[in-house]
Amino acid sequence: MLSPRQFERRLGATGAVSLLGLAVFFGALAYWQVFRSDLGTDPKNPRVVNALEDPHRGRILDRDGNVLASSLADGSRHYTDASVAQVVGYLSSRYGSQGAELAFNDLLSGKAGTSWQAAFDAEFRRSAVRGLDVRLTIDPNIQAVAAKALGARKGAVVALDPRNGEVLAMVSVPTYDPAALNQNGEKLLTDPNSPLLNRATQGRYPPGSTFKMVTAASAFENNVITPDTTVTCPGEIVVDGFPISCNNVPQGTGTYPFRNAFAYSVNAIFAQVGVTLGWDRLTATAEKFGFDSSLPFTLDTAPTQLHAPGSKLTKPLLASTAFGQGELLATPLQMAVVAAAIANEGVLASPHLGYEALDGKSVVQKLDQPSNRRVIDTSVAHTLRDLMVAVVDDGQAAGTAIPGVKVAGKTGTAESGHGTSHAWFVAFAPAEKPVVVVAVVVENGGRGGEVASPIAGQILRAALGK
Amino acid sequence: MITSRDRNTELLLLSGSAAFILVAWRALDAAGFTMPASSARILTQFLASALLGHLGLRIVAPRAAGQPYAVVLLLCAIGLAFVTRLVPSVAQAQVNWISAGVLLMLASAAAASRYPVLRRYKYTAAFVAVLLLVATGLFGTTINGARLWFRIGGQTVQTTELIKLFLVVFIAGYLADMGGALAAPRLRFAGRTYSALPYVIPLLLTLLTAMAMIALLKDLGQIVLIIMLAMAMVYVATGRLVFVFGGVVLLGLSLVFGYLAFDHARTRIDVWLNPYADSAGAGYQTLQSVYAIHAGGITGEGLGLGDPQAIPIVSTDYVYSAIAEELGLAGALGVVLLYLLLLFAGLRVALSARDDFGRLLAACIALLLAIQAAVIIGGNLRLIPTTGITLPFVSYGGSSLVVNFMLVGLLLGISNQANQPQA
Repeated sequence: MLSPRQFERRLGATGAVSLLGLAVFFGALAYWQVFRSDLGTDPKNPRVVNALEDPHRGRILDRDGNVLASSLADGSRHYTDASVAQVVGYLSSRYGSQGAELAFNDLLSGKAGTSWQAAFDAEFRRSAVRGLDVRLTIDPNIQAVAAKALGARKGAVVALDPRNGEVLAMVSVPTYDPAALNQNGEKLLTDPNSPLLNRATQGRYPPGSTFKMVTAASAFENNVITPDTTVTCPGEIVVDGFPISCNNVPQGTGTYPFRNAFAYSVNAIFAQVGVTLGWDRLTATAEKFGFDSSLPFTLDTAPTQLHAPGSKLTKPLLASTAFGQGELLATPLQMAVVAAAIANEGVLASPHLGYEALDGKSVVQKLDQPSNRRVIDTSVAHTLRDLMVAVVDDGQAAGTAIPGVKVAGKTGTAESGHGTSHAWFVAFAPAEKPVVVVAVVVENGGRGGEVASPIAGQILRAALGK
Repeated sequence: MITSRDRNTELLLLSGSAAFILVAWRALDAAGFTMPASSARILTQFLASALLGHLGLRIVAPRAAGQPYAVVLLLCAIGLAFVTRLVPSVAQAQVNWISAGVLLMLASAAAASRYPVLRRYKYTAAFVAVLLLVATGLFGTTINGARLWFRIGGQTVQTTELIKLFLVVFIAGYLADMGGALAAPRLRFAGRTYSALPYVIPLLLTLLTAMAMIALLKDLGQIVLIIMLAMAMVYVATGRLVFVFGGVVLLGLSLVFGYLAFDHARTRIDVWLNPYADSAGAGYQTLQSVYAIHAGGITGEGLGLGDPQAIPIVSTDYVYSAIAEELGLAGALGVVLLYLLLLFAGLRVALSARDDFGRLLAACIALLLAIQAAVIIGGNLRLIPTTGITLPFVSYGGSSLVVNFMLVGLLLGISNQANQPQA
């Protein structure tokens, strides 16, 4: 026979356990429904793609308010400028989702950032949810000049403001017609030229001599060398039996100050500096600039690498890494970030693409507030800046000199492993008070100082209004 | 007809379910949802069944507690609204099952006036349960890769739902007889002490047989449910936490065994741990459920305005995720509260009963429904691996609805007996 008192106590305990269960379920619901906001922009979430077909979806605007993407009454999406196709992006269940359409989907579809009034109306009056308009940092003039300057050549251009990290232009060639994505998406997806790929953020190229900015920064901050240190290159330098020629440039052989080795980009000297630095110190500096990981940015970025994972860290590999070859891979955005940190006196303002969210004409919220992070000392940044000014002053970068403006730059001619070298140029201006950084890569374009630098020159002039 | 305070309370509470189904119908219409052709008939039939059940209870169990039936009907209203919204073509079938369930509930409530008789048939009940499982294993119909159904006259019956009726009778009857022996750690008789262990053996043996059969039928969710129910019931009957501990060990062992022995169990556990590993294949359903729950936010997308159809088999296995999407945290938590209310109402019936068997039977029914809801909701919220059992009174499915209604009928019958004036 059960004792009624004991039975009651046991049922009480059972009830207490069930209340605990209620708390657990409440916690789980709150976790999924309130805290896991990342699920709302997961490209695998079918709601993300469905949101694109809503005629009330917000527009994507450039910096000046020109419309880059807008929805028609039938829910189809209209795009105006193919040169920003990969930046604006698309949502598609068949071809994946990318670009600003994905990054700002919650705002554009009206799921986030709307006023209480709008949320109330949507919930209780069943009025359609109007998405917010999203203004990007893209400057239409600089974007147009950059697209025209690169033309039909395969490659990418990134221009950004080093003071605040705002991306002013981002071009990736070849591009595609976003409106035609649904008709020939399959063809675009399998096209060997990868038109859907945003080369500025996802293209991984050997950076070539533009990486010498990083090697030099590491050498300066570790007091391994100064610009005035005399260096000698006898014709070739041998690292563990592996010869590196001084004659990758005509001025290579001889005795001269280190600043010349930077200006003329002598590989053998940088190989020596790299070996003196060692893997640890070079890696530490490179990682401060963002290497060996995916750069945090509004859009997805491909990870950069100093060497292939699991590679044996030999001295010859270190030597070739120091002058920008080896197994190095970098995105154009990453190289722009290196220059931006140097331009902004050693402090990196995080790069971003979102400017603000608008409800009609009123600003609802600022997007992508940049965070500042010191990468190198101010003095090291100034030293590098002066070396980069000399690159342009000595005439190593055709077409970038601007009368009355000091331009700082670094060329790169990266062996691609197949065919002609990739042409690189990274620059900023005006050198004393930089307002624009440009990184250009032309795939299999040839010499950086002949092919990439004129493109950068045109963009710098457009940005400075010259 | 006898007027009773409990029945009046019930009628008042029932107006809540009526209001819910009317508002739901209006909301679905406003959302631009294409209602099934017979939507007016479905609505009328639901309201008529609700009223019929209430009037029937005034006759067969006038003194029974008022809350259980009202809570069950509100759950049915939520379920009917979501089944209509998710699979309009089976909405008529769902309301037919609700009507049948209400009638069978009345029958079982009426029969329950003689419920103490059932105690005598506890071993028969256990035998029938095992027999039903064996028969299903041999002659059953396979649906969705699991052989759980029996075809009778063109209608499929899910055996693992049906055996719950027999299982509660066995568990309650057995514990009413043996609870005293189990409660004492040592038995003293004629100056000698005996271990209580042998008394557990019949219970353990029956449960293990049933579980082994269900394991062969590949319904692992039911095994978890039965272990947890047995665990809770032995505690309620004996107050000894050592049995709860034993149950936890058993649960752990059966999970490990399931993981090692059954491919589909292993898949479910792997998917639970990392659905992204195979996001287009095995993990697809789990991921879609998580996306749906997330989309709900605090107040939900609104009935008919979400995309819960993206979840495969949503109307039976993931109806809770659909509720979480369209009614939000507020609605989904409301559903949990309803099961809690049902549990508490059931436990109150257990307290009021005058005999051990009645007490344990009422507690067993209340715990069965609550644990079943907790297991499926926990699975939908990814707290535990998904199990594929139904959300009582809400999921689409005839066997489960009818059996659960009969269990509630039994509960109401016990309550009615308990509240009879003392002779």
